[in-house]
Amino acid sequence: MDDQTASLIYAPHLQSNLSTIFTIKFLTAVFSGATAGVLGLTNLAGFLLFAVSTLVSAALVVFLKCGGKPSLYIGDGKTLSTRGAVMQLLLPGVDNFFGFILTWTLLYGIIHVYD
Amino acid sequence: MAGDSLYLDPQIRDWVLFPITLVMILVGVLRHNIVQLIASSPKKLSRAATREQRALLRAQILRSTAKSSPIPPSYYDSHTDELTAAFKAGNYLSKPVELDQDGKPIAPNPTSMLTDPAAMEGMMGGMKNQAVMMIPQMIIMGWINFFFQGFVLIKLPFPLTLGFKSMMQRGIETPDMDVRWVSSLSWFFLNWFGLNGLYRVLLGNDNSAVNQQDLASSPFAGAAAPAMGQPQDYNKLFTAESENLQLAQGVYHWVGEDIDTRILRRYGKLAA
Repeated sequence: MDDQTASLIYAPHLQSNLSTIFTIKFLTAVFSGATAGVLGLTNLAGFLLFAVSTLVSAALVVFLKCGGKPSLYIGDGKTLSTRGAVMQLLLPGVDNFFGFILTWTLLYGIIHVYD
Repeated sequence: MAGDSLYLDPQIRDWVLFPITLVMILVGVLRHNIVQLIASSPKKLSRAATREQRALLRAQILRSTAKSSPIPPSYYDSHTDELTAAFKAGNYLSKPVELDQDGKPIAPNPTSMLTDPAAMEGMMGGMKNQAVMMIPQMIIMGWINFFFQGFVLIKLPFPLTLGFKSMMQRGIETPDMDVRWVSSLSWFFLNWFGLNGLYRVLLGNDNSAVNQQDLASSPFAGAAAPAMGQPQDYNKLFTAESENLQLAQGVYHWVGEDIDTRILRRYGKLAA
C-alpha cells in the first residue's frame, strides 16, 4: 500500500507546497520577531511569542487551507501520514529561528535601546 | 553599577546597524548572481551516451510505477519485453563491450580524478563556489573589525551565559557589563545566521547565497563528486536492470483493472 501511495504522489506539487510552507514559516518568524521587539518582550516572553505564533499559523494552515487533512498536501514524499505533515508544519527550521532572533534584536534595539 | 540601560547615540544606529545589515543582504545577492555567472554550462553528452542513460531511466520509471501502473497490461508487457531484449543484446550501449581472451567482458577501468576532464571540471566548479562564498565573508569581517570596533552596538533581548562574553564583547574591556550588550562583530554573526531564510525566500530554493554549514552536506557532497566522475559500466547496469524488470513484472498491477465493476459499485448499480 505504501508503494502504491508513494508512486501516486506527484513530486512537483509536493515541492511547491513545501516551499510555500517554508515561506509561511519564514514570514511568521520574521513578523513575530518584529512584534516581540516592538513590544519590548525579553527572555522567555519573546520565545513564548515565537512558539505561540508558530502554533497559530500552523493551525490556520491546516484548517483553512488543508481542510483538516494536511497529509494530502505535504509530507516526505513516501507515505501519507498526518503526524509527519503536522511535524513538518510545526518545526521551524534553524534558518527561521535565527531569522526570528535577528528581527527581534533589530526592532528591540531600534525602539527600546536607542532614544 | 550602571543602571540597566546604557544610553547609546542614535547615530550608531544609523551608521552601523543599518549599513551592516544592508551590506550583508546585498553581498548575499551578489554572491548568488556571481555563482550563476561563473557556472560552467553542463557538458553535452553524445547522442549514444544520452540514449544509454535514457534507456536506463525508462526502465526504472516502468519498474517504480509497476505496483499501480497507469498503463494497461499489453503495453506494459511489450515495453518490458522490448527493453529486456535490448539490454541483453546490448543495443543501447554507446561503446561496444570489449571481450578479453576468455570471452568475458572487461569492465572499463575507472579513470583517476586528475586525468578525467569531466571530474576535474566538477571539482573546479565546487572549489570556485567555495571561494566565492568564503571571500566576501572574510572581507566583510575584516571591514567590520577595522571600522566598527571597540563600542557597544546593541542590547540582546535574551540573556546569554558569561562564556559568550569574550566572543560577543570583543574589543570592549569591561569586566562586569551585562553580556547582553554586544559589539558589532556579534551583530555580523546574527545577520549571517538570520539572513539564510531571507535568501531562500528571495532567491528561490537552490540559491547559492545560503551558507551550508550542515554536517550532512559537506562530507556527502565531497563523497558524491568523485563517485560521479567515474564512467559507469553500462553493461553491468543493463543486465541488473533486465533482472529487475522481470521481478517488477511479477508485482505489476494495472490501476484500471476491474474498473467497470468498480464504477458500477460506486454508483450503486451493482450489489457490493
